[in-house]
Amino acid sequence: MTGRYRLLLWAYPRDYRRERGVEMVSTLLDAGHARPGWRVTFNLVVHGMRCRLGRPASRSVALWAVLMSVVCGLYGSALGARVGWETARPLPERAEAAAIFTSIFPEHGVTGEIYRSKAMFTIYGEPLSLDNLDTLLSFDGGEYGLGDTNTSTSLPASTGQRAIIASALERLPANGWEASEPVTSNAAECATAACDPTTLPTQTLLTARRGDNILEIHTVSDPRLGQLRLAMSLSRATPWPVHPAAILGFVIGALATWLIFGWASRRNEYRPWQRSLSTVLFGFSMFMTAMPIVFTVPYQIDHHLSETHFRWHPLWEWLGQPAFSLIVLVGLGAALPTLALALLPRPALAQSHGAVDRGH
Amino acid sequence: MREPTFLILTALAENPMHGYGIIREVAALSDGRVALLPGTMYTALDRLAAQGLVQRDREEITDGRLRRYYRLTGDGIEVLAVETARLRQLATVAEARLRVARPKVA
Repeated sequence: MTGRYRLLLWAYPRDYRRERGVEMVSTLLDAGHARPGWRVTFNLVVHGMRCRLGRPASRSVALWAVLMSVVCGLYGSALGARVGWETARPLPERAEAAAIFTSIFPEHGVTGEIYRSKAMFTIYGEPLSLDNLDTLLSFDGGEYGLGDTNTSTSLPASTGQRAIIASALERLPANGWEASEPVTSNAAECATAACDPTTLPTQTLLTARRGDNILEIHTVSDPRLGQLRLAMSLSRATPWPVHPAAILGFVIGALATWLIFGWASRRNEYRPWQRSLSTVLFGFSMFMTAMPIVFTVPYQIDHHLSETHFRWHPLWEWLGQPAFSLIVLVGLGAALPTLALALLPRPALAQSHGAVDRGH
Repeated sequence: MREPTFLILTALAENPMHGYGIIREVAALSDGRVALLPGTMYTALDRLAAQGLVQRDREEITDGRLRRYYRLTGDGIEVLAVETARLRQLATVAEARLRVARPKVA
């Protein structure tokens, strides 16, 4: 009976459990909670986690802890999603891609070279590795992308974009593909006021999914050049383990952040200058880590609403990664001195300070 | 000041009390409307102690269970008195307005 309560009291910090554990269990038993029901369980866990932050009279400490935990939870979630992507099948081989492309456009066939990315994720065509870490950390990180197996071919303009898309929309379902609505837009913008928008090249994007294959058909028509470009690419859909891995990553990231934040907060509770310095460093760290998310999420929402996505952009792209990875790294680096300050020995007063001051 | 905080201070105004005593007294003072769970109560006690309004009084072992008593500090009595006066002033104003409003409704 008391064993279950003692287990729940693990939500509280160790010093607090030593000071208050026996008393709290006595109160719980006195109150008739012979067994911890879900209300009591939830109540103890929530207040125990709040207690881990120290500074019981402060309301802002809980707010900052929640914000930082959510931010780091999201980065943990992105890391989990990336690990989950390791379960994806390798990119389609050239022969498989050629067969798929031909089944959609048998009249055109595959006349161009078929390219297959060197890895599932690449930057400037090379697999992500420590060798291109400097590129990744520079603001060139946005050049990273999901790999694919692709080909393109030039067709006479007389073929017509509409005819190509119409025939694709007819053949895709017949071959077991689920197709999206095609999205047409200008492929360039007018540079001068004298430009006639109707003469601009136009592009159409059609996306389809079959199993774990994502097929993108991209046409660009340039009336001035009398040319029609047809590009097709095959890539992998998001593998299902990405979702549980992302959730697990969030929980681990958020919980670890809460515990570390709480530890540092309690350690610096009775040390004014360490506390002030930690607050400044934490504020900087919070700004640097949250800024890419605040900046990128609205853009991603707008982008996803504007066209059908059989595969949502990976979570890290929603967090502005790896384009803003250097900013996040600097932000996390700024948190390290805060932790170092917390490691300094605590004054005797703080070490002997109980949960509630002893009477005079 | 939130109602549970006011009730905890009121519960401790007369005599020092232990945790379960506070829970019971708060329920009685509020006619059963406010049922404090232990986690909530200890968080409130910690906050009140950090604000210097409550402090530890003594410990007892009863039936093998540890009972730790808490009491109001001088500041706690002062804050409770100020809050009580504030609530009384609000209640007086509200009652005066109600006396005017009720005959109209009737």
